[in-house]
Amino acid sequence: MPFDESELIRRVRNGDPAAFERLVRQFDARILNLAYRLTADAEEARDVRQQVFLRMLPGLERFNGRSRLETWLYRVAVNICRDRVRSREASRGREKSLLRNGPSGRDDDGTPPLLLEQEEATERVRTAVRELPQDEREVLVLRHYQDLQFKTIGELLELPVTTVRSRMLRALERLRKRLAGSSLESS
Amino acid sequence: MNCEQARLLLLEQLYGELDPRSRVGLDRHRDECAACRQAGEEFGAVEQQLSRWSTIEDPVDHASLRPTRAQARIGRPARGWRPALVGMAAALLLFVLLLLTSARLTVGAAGIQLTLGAAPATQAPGVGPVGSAEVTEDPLDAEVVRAIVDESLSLQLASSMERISDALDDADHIQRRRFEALVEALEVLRTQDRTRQVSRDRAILQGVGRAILRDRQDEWVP
Repeated sequence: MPFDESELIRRVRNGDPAAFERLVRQFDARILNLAYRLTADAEEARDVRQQVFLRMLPGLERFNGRSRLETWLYRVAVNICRDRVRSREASRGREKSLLRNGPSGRDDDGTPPLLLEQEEATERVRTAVRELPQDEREVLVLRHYQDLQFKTIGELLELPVTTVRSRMLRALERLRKRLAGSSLESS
Repeated sequence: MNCEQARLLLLEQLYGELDPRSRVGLDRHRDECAACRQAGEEFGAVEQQLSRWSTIEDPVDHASLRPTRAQARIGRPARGWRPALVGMAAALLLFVLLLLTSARLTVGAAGIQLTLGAAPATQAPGVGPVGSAEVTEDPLDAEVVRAIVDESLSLQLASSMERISDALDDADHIQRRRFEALVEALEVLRTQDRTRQVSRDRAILQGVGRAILRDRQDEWVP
């Protein structure tokens, strides 16, 4: 059945739980992965997803349809992630724990060397993205992983598109410095 | 075009947002500027590196995200409501049937009359008897029965609406919507059951009517 966003929203407003479930299914993976990239923590991403969808229900009452529902959900997700990352960064102990639990800190568990290398490369990327300033990380994740255009990101974050591009450029410049060595190795 | 402008255009090119006119200027700058040429290549490498971080697959437990009764405004009743609705409909039907079966049919000069509540005073034999031709005919016209049933249902529905309306005075917005939806659903259910209900009620009324008439006939037989 084709996805008709406005029809589903109308049905949810009329109290149709099946329509609500359809909307959740439609955006589930994208919200989860957005949260995952912004928090760099799978467990936290699941919590964020849950919160986003729980906010979606009452939020649809006020949703005016000027933007797409997806954009609106992304905005909710970004705001929740911001709060979480902020409180996480305020807690040094938690941060240390995250770093300790990262794959690069694990003992040798017999994983083949090639897989280990790939995991390490992935972890370098993950760490590099996680260590970007929050505003740059948001733009990078929305553009690169969520595949939103700069203009849409500007609408979502309520920023001029020039600011969005500048942040993205700064993020890429940082990553370029950070990942340049490993990029050459892998290529 | 300076290097900063060129890098912004490199970024747009990397993500396929560069318009063709800007591309000409960018290519010209890149031909002349080794630093921006290298930056372009490295941006591409970074972009590939970023793609290493794959998505996580974790389908949500959609059932856990289903709105609860408190959250959902029930327009179409959720599964959990159906047994309650069926129960209410059954209670409504039972009430109507009790109402109808406790009714008494009297046959007088004015024709067949339905009396609700207390039994009418016993009619003396021979007083205003109805001719045998009338008695032997099917005494209950389908339209009459339907009108009776409709009226009873309307009374019952009005009574239910009144009680619901009282409850609504104390309910908040969500509760109000749920009550309204419930009444709507009840109405739908009632409409759907109407045909079967009417035929069942008619059969019962006919049975009652025949029994009364048979009793009367027995009384009239000398």
